[in-house]
Amino acid sequence: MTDPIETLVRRAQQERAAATTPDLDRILAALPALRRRRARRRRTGFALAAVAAILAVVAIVLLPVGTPERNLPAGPPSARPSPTRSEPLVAMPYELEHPPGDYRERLRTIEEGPTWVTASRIYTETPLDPLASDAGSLPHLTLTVRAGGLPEGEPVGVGAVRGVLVDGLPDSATVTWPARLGGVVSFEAVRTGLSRTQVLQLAASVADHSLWLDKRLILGWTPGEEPVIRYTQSLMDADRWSATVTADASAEDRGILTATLAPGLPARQDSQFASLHARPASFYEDPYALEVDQRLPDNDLALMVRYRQGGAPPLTREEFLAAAEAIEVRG
Amino acid sequence: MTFEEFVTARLGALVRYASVVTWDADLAEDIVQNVLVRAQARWERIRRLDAPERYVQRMLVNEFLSWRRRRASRTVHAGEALESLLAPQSDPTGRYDDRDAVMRLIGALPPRQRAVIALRFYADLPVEEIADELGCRESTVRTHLLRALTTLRASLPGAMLPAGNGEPR
Repeated sequence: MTDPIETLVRRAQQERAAATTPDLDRILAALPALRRRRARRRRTGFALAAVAAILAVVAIVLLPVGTPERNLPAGPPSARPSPTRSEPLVAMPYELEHPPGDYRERLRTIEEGPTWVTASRIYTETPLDPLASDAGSLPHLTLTVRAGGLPEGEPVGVGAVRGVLVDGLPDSATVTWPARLGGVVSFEAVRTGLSRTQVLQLAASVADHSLWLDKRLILGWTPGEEPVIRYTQSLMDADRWSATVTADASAEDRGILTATLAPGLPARQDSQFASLHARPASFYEDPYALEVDQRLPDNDLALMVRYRQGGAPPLTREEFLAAAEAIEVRG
Repeated sequence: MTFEEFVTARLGALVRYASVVTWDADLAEDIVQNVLVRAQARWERIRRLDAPERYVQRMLVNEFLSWRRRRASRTVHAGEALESLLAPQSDPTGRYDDRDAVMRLIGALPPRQRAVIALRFYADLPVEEIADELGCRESTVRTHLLRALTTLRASLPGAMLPAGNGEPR
């Protein structure tokens, strides 16, 4: 059954479209001037792109000889999510030591914005797709550490600390409490069928260790000025995992760079030959995206790098391959 | 099909599509012009696609969402606009124009929500295609849809809304 509000919206949109009587001649007449202006801008853009390409090469050269990723201190430098966007580890001290029933940790995520970091562990009963970035519609439990304060909600006890319970959509509840080292921890149960008491008991049982989440892939180049970078690691079983990092600059009208490390290489047609780190790779291109895939030499993992074009200027093949080479794999 | 043939055949439809996405006739024309200039530069590749018009529509949506960032002053701030709509108003004609209310409320939605409802209900795209088009997750699209419909439902006069379930599909 169609929602009546949808019917109203559809009708309003159709009326809006029907009421639009554009001056087509005026639009067409303006195109040549806009085309000339675009050409002038592109000439300026090429000069800036050349500078960016030089900087990218410098970054590639510098990466192996001394970055924080390769010169880790002996112990954890800090026990909280670091705002430094290139740190290879992010603190995630919280863990469900005894998940209920068949729930197991299946996914770890780290999301970094310009000024914040969020780290999560996601537990589901059944395995997720190796390339999944979230639990989708499956029942799941999520533990998250993030900056900020407690939300509005019902005050509850979480072990020895005071927290807040918020009931969400049907069969969704979130318990939030202050994190030991700043920020808050939230434990969310979605479509699990767990009772309120069970959710509170599980929240109170969350262990507080000095644990860290690993970034298996680190980007040496990201689109835009302030992309949101999301790291996910899918835990297939004890020995098998896949990892993805996505730098999303679509909010700046730039593209989305995604690198995935997973067992096996996807079978695709119409590939072109390319070279990454002087080894053969498969390159694909369409108007929307660029992609390069390569099997790693020492294991059965493959690296797949994809760039979804954003606004102008698009990334060229050479720039894209330079960005792909700048990715550090931390197997 | 040459670029000129495409423009001649589809310009009107593109402007109408843009006007539903932007909810602003002048902005729609500006955006269509900009997108056509960019599309012409890559027309050799675009024309070989299965659905060139779909690709240009996709460019329109992305141009709109980036345009609003460049031209923040042109953006309608949803909070203020909705507040004025929600406040009790006397209708000088003595008759509340329901259709106008829907029109104004859609125009007051945040741009990304407005774009999502245009793609969902005007272009009839499924959620997964909208997510692909906007470069975000399906859950994000569902959230935009839910928020847009919730806002509209909460703001419209009750008489206009028979009971119904509001979960976006």
